[in-house]
Amino acid sequence: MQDISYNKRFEYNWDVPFKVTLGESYFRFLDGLKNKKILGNICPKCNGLHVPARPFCDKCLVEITKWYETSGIVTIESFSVTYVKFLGLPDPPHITGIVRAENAVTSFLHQIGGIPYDEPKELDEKTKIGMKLKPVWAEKRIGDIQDILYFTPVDA
Amino acid sequence: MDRKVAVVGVGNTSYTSAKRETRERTEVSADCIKAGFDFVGKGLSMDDVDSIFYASVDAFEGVQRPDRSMDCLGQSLNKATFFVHTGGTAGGSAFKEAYHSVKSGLCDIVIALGASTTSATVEAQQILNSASPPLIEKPFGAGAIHMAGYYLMRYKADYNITAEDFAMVAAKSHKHAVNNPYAHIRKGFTVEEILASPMVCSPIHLYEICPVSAGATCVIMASEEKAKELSDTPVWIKAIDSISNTFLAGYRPFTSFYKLEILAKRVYEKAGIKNPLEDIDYAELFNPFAGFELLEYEALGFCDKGDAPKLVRDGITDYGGKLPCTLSGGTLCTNSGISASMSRHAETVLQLMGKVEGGRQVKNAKTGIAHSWGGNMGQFHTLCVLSV
Amino acid sequence: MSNNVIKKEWRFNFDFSVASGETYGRFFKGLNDKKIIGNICNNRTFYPPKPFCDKTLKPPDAWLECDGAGIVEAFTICCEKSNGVKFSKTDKKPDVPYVLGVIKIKDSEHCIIHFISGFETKDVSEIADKIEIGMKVKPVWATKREGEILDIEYFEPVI
Ligand SMILES: [Zn+2]
Repeated sequence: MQDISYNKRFEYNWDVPFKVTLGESYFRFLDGLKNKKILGNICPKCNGLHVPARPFCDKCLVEITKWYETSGIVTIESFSVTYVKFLGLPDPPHITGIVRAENAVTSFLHQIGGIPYDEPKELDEKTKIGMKLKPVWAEKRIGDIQDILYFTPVDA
Repeated sequence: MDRKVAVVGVGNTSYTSAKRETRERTEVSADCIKAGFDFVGKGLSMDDVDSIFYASVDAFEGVQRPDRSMDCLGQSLNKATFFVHTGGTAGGSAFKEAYHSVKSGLCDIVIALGASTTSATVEAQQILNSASPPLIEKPFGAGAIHMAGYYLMRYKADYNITAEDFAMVAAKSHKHAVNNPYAHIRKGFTVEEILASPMVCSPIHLYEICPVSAGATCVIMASEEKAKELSDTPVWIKAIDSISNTFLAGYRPFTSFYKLEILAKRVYEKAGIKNPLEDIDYAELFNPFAGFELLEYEALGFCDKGDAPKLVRDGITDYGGKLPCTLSGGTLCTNSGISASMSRHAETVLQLMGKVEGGRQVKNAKTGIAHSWGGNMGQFHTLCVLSV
Repeated sequence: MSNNVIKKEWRFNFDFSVASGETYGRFFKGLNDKKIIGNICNNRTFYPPKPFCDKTLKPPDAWLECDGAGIVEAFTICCEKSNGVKFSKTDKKPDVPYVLGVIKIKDSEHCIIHFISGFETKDVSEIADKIEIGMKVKPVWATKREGEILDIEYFEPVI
């Protein structure tokens, strides 16, 4: 049995910078956001529309070179409302979800906002799977996924 | 070559919260392996072991390749050690790698150790978020719980699942964890208490979420010849496999655990399981978020889509039911990061050996399954069929 | 495409907190009191102490204590500043050139890594003349000690 009176806690921190290369597909996708465009691309083999655009189709393993500009309207596949303050996340309640552009074969993660409520709890009911959303753009866009601030109901 | 592989021993340390842990990291691993040797008895020691598979996640431990820091793994004794890291699934993956090494004939006795991964972690969210794809998903600060939320909100909408359905399966785990001496949260929360606990990310309540625990679990595996020398109750590995999913969470459908469905078909075929509800006597499922257990019942073919809550309500998956599931309390009540995915196998082995403590022993369990899930919020599943 | 748009940057910033356990806890408390704590197991001596025997996984037999005098087993003279290397929370970083050594304390089975200093010169070739493998060294204690490995500021040659 150990004598825990000798136990001492040591605290330390990792603070490590990283830098990655985007490659052409992600560059064009993110650059599109700068111009308020949500770009996808279409696999030459299976015709699948990929949004966000990506370098290759993971089913066919072929390069995707055919570009497509979507309407920007997306559909909620699923979502979750966060009711508790998380380190590094916006104040609650806030909604993140999986959304799909047009008939894309892939979806993506983003924030959902602009849904009116009296009590935060209502957001679970007022946000609906299948709901159509449009992007709300940041004033200053830098070619980043957060150039879209969030997606909001089309009729809002 | 048909070489059989058995689990002959299981080692557990006590489990506590990461914040209350007073053991140094390597001590936890050493205690765990020693418990495994003591379980087997017969003078088994590190000298007899050919290889050790250490399952963990670097960024949770605060050390790169944390296996290197564990001199209890027999480095000074010239043993071969391997680090297995498939995120939360790593315990199940290390179990599988250990199995390969014996099955292939290269090793006779090996250890797979599920580490006390999160014992150094201060804010699990910092690290969970670092597992996200950096370009287009990490900026949203999503962690495992958000992914869990997407699966469960979708499940709720598609099949009219209620908050009570989720709370009932959570209460089943909490009830049994009370009687598991190796569980961390042993409060026995009821359905009412669970529903009254704060909503964290819809539809998940606080008491439907696993804790950040400290503690380790290991299994000792042996070839047929050695297993018969070392154990009167060897548990044989009948089939094991794993499956991968996309890195980007957005590329995955959230409508079911469809990857587990595919994996189960593969593994059942190898093990000769035709009707899971009839052919399986015990199952340990990976449930860091309680509602997952329901999705897992369906993916594993215990019932049709949307019918899982009925299995819980009818007591089918409870103690005394046709197919008792996760009577350890599961990952929901104890999650030290990686050991939780090894504990599923360890618990199933103990059930089949007839050595479960705390009045949770299932009578005449002959065939069991152990499942693990993890890796960037559910990128991998492993599934294993064990039998006496 | 300019360089800053084809690259994306981000940081990992993680906090950790680890328990020392009893064994390392005793060792660090010892440093605070200018003592080197070790332990013994099956006639094998360990400075710093080990929480368990790596052969039997059992706790060692007894605690030991010594003044920390030892022998240089190996060393290297570091001549260039290295970016991003932080030596501890307090970052008591020595100026270049400095010596990092492998030191065997008393009859310990394993060694300890620490600075070797006290040469009264900053000239690399002069330092090289003054240090050799097998040389006897002893700890020089920091005035302000907090129960951590840099409570020993460095080891210096025993003349
Ligand atoms: Zn394709």
